[in-house]
Amino acid sequence: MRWHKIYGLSLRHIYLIRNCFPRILEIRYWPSVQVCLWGFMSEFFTVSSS
Amino acid sequence: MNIKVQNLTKKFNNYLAVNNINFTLEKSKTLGLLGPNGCGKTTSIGMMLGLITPSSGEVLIDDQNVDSSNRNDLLSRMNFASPYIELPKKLTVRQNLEVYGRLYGVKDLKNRITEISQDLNLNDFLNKNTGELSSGQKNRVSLAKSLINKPDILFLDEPTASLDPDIGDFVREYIEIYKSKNQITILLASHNMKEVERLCDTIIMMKEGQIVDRGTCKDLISRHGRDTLEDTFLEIARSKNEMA
Repeated sequence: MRWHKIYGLSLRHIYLIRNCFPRILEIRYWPSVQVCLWGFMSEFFTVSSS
Repeated sequence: MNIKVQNLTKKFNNYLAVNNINFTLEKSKTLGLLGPNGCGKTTSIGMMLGLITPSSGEVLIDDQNVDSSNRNDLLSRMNFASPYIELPKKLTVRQNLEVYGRLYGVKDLKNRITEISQDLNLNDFLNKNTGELSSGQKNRVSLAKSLINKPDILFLDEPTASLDPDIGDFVREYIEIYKSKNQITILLASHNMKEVERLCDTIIMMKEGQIVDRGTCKDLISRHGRDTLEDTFLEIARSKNEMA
């Protein structure tokens, strides 16, 4: 295992995300949508149907 | 480091891109790979870098096969520059050099980046996104990336393509000086005859995947009874195939 290569590739992705606001937004936005849409709705139906 | 290419062949489906080529490149020498578009220069370089698997034949670097178990050690002592392969556009020049420096495991990377930025006049746009640079600037960054690990073997695929004469000359002069200082082995694929004449010790002429002639620049010109390397190139490119 060559750690410097893993570090190099990770660094590339960190820089890519840091330099691009839409990427940061995308990382935050879609999980939030998933949590709201599926998580909270499932929770609501579970509670209200019981 | 020396390179030995033995019976190297690459077939893509039914298309023979490289057809049984053989040559040796001695340590600290520069070899020019000349030939018309589609003659197999870039495919050959790809196989020498271990990026393309040959259909048959082998590439030996210091008598070790490039596909052998110590491939990583061999590759860490080589590098490659081409204007056709773009570095990540959203990264700044400094970030790109840092990423590639880390990938190659360069020690004292900060100083190496400072050193190479000064040598190639990158300081003015070191913090600019690579995608915002002009062709000439991108080309210098690509060259800086290829020298970041102080390679023993350098593959250059048309390093001055699409550059104006001033920057083209700067790049050629830099390669010339770097070569004399560091004694590196260079394989240069180019369509610029003056560049090949200036930088290369020997030249290989390729056509339709085969080596059709080889020798020093003077040898080739006199053998074909021409005045310039460009005339010699045109004669070879327009003639029928003959194996060297």
